[in-house]
Amino acid sequence: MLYLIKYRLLSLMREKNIVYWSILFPIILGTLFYVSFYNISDDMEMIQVAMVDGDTSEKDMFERYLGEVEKDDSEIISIKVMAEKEAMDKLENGDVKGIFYSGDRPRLKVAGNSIESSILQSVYDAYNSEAYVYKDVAEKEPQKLEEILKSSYISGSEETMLTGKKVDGMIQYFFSLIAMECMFGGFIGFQMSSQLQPNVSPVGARRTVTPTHKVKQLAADTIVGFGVQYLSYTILIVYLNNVLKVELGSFSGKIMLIGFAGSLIGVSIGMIVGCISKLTESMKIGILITFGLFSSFLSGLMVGGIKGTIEQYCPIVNRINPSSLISDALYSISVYDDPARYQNDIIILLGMSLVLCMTAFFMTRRESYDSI
Amino acid sequence: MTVFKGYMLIIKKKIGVIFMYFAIFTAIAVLTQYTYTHEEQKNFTNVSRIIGVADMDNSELSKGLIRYLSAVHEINKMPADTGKLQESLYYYRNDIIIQIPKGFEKSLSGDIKKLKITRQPGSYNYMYISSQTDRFLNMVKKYCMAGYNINDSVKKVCDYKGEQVELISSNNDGGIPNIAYLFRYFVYLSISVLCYVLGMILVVFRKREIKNRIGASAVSDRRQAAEAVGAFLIVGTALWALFIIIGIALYRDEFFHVKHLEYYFINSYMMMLVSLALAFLIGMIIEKENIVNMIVTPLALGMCFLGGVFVPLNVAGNFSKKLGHFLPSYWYEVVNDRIAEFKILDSESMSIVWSGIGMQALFVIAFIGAALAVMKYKKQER
Repeated sequence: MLYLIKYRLLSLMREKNIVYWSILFPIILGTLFYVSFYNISDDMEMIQVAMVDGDTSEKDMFERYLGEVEKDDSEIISIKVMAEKEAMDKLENGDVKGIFYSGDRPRLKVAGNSIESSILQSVYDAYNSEAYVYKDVAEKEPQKLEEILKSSYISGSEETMLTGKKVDGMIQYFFSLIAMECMFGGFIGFQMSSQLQPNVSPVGARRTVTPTHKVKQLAADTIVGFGVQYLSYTILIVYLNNVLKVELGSFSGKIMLIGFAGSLIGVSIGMIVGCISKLTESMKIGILITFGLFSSFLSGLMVGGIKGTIEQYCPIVNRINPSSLISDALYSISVYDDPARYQNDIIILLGMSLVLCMTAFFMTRRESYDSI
Repeated sequence: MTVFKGYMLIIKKKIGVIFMYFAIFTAIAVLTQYTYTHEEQKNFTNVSRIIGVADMDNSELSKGLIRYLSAVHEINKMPADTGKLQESLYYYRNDIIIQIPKGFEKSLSGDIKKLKITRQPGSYNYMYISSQTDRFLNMVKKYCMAGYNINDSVKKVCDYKGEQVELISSNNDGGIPNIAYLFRYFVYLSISVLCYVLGMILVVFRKREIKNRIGASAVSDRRQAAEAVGAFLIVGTALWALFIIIGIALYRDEFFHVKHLEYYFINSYMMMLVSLALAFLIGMIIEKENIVNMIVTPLALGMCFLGGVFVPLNVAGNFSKKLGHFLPSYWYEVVNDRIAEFKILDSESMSIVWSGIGMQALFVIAFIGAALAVMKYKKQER
């Protein structure tokens, strides 16, 4: 048996296809993600705003307020004072995102709904609400005005995860990447089942005529295939965690258990595809690639919000799509700390793997050939 | 037309794989644009969010805050059970969770006990909601300092309607037609499908015996090249036309009434030519069919991530944008964004549009030039 395992391992590691899809491709894509999302939030450009001068005393107060906002550490807006016509032209052309008017009644003009105009609206609302309170108090309780003018601004909220952890919003892309890595373990399963069938590959034909029992061959293939896939999963996790410093959570047994279930489902999907002997090799590879990509796409590889849309319209997809289950399990331990959800995901993945492995076994057993 | 017929014969032979790639990548493009259309519209503040509120204080102030938020948002009152709160976020029943801590009202006069806000990972809701809760708290606090009790302060704040922002009808009003989202993903579809399909076909033509047979035939090199270009253009144009038909089927009347439709057509056709040229280059470099997938998959994904397809250019990091300048997908997206955002294309916009299309044309020339150089080198090597 050890002899079989050794040579299956050597044979598998010499397959460029396997090494590429299982190890190199996820690392290349992970690096690409890292470059794409690097400093994505820190690089936000300042919003360009025009200020049209009014002619009354109140303009000073509004202008001073905007000046404070402009000087703020977060560097949200950059204000330039200009004449109304110039400001309108710039707003029309998109060179500025809004115009603040100082005067008796400060105003804000924006060109439409956008994130920038929403932020300008928040700045404008904050000023107006404060001014409204001061005016109201000045009219009704003038003796208290001085006191409330001295009061400092309170920031009454903080962003937390329910578990108390802070999580980068871009982490979901890396979870889907890990799921995709497991799905591309299908190439190993495909290779294994192809090399067990005499009508599919010459290696399969040679192995079939040997006196070694098929169950022994299958066991050796499964151990090696699964082992290689699990190793490539570990390499990816170590690369993301230690080289790219993506915070996947602690490098725990739970993450490794997800790798176990994910590797198993990936390899077994490949075995099933490899067992369909009527298809050409290019068709089978095409199926593995498109299935791996599409399944990972549905778990959020290309669009972060897709899982939410699926949950709204067709939640069953999130319960049976292997990539979604893998990324869900990673969410459960890294973001939500939800052991019940994690267990569910792992059980479904293992159950599906078992069914697929059994199906692959029944598809290949007791086949007899008159001529190959 | 022997060479041309040869190409068509191989396409016919591989029609199953071609159809599979087309169907999957079209599904990805359509689903992506559908999701983005909904997600990006959610980022505007005038859209209400679904907020789950776990009120552990149950005071006049906390109830007032809920009333204040409910004027704009849909509020789900939740128990203070972390498991249930997690589940509601997990299954997207709430966009955001606010936990109001015990002793919240009492702390208003001193060191305030902060609200805990949790958003869906990947959404931008926190800033939007926290600016509203802060506004509420600051107004209530000031009224309390002025001598009003909590009830009256909350009532005054809830009655305050705020000032209206003036919206002008402008050339660039932030509204992006849905069709622009569909065209944004044409890059992925075009590069993936054309590079897979044509890469596979060219690999067949690069087999030694076929190459030798063609080389020994009476058809001149120039004619062979012309027939190959003809076959490539037919495949590319067929894919482009299918994509347009899908767009028409999805958007019907809206498709024909969108502004600058002609520029969407020109830009996407140019992108299709870029993909053809890239496929030609890949086909010249690669000699085995299974290598085509190895090159095309990361190439297509990389061009899309760095070129502003999956991560829009207005939110992409500076480093990624700088890298994007070296990719045709970036220039395609620059043009697509411009024609989507602007109702009228003035001279400045036109120069951006034509320089973007021109840059793509330069990529076509560069890829073809590189492919011809590889071809010549391999011929000499032989």
